[in-house]
Amino acid sequence: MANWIEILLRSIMLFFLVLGLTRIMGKRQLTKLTPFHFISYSIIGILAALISVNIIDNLVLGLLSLGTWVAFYLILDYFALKSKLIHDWINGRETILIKNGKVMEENLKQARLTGEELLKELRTKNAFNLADVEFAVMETTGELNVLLKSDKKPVTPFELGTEVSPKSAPQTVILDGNILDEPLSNIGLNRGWLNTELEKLGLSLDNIFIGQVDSSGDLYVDLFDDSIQVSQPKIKETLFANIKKCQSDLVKYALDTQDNKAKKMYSSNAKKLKNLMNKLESYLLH
Amino acid sequence: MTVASQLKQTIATLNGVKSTLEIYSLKSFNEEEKSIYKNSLKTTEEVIHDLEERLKIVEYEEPQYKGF
Repeated sequence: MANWIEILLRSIMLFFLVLGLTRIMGKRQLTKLTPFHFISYSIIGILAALISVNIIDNLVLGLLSLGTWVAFYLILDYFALKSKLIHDWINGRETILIKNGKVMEENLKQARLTGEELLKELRTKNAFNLADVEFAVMETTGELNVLLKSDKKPVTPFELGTEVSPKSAPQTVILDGNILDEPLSNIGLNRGWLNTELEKLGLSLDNIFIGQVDSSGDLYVDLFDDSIQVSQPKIKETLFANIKKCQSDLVKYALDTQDNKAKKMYSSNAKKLKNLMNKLESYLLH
Repeated sequence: MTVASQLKQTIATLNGVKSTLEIYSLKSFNEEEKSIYKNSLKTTEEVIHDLEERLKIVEYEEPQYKGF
């Protein structure tokens, strides 16, 4: 057999073999590999390359070595899922670099980081001031994660005590001028509905790049032709304004009327609408 | 504008609010959102009912403002 045919055949075989192996070995982001995974991946890659260019000329021996690496990798990975001890042994443990706002110099040395590097890592996490950091930990992948002091953390709606509406993922129903039927039927709508909505907006399907339906069933579109101004739905804002208007009307009637019973009725209903406004605000505005 | 006609206007606006809420309660596909709209619909209906009762009294007291 000519040399080149052998190399061709080996390469094709290994190409599909490695493709299959990477599927079995799971999804890991390459930038977030622990040293164990990195070395396993590299060795498997190098072995495959060596076999395919015929440096390891005995195919069986080469595949044996490759198989051993993959098998041990998979076995250890499996046991790491089952046992915390083996997981720590393979992956190492995270190192706490800053605790209670104080840098742990011993751990820093262990992680082989200089003070300057620590500051650089902190800056990538938007902590420019060491004084703002409450807790920082180096993960087994070498990534630094930072917990800011509670008064330096971004404010959440929970801390502000405001209610926010739960957002469920919008469904993309138009892409590149094509209607996607599956997401459309997922939310119980059909092409007829979509055509009516498009007619309302006065747009043709082939001018639409992306169309999304949000959780309250409103259609949002982005056009190929950006010079056209689309009137996006303002129904919710109008609805809220109308409720607000009625509420203030009721307050006014309550003040105007002389009848005590009517006054009571108006003010209790005004209160009801006020509660309604508070409840609906996060859904209708934003 | 008389009290009766003002009241009628408010009721009309509230009826508009009610129907918009009804549309949203039907077409939203998030269950939580749906139930919020349904509850709001109920509250609006209560308010409309109270106002209509009041309108009847007002029209009875001042029959010259009856109708539109």
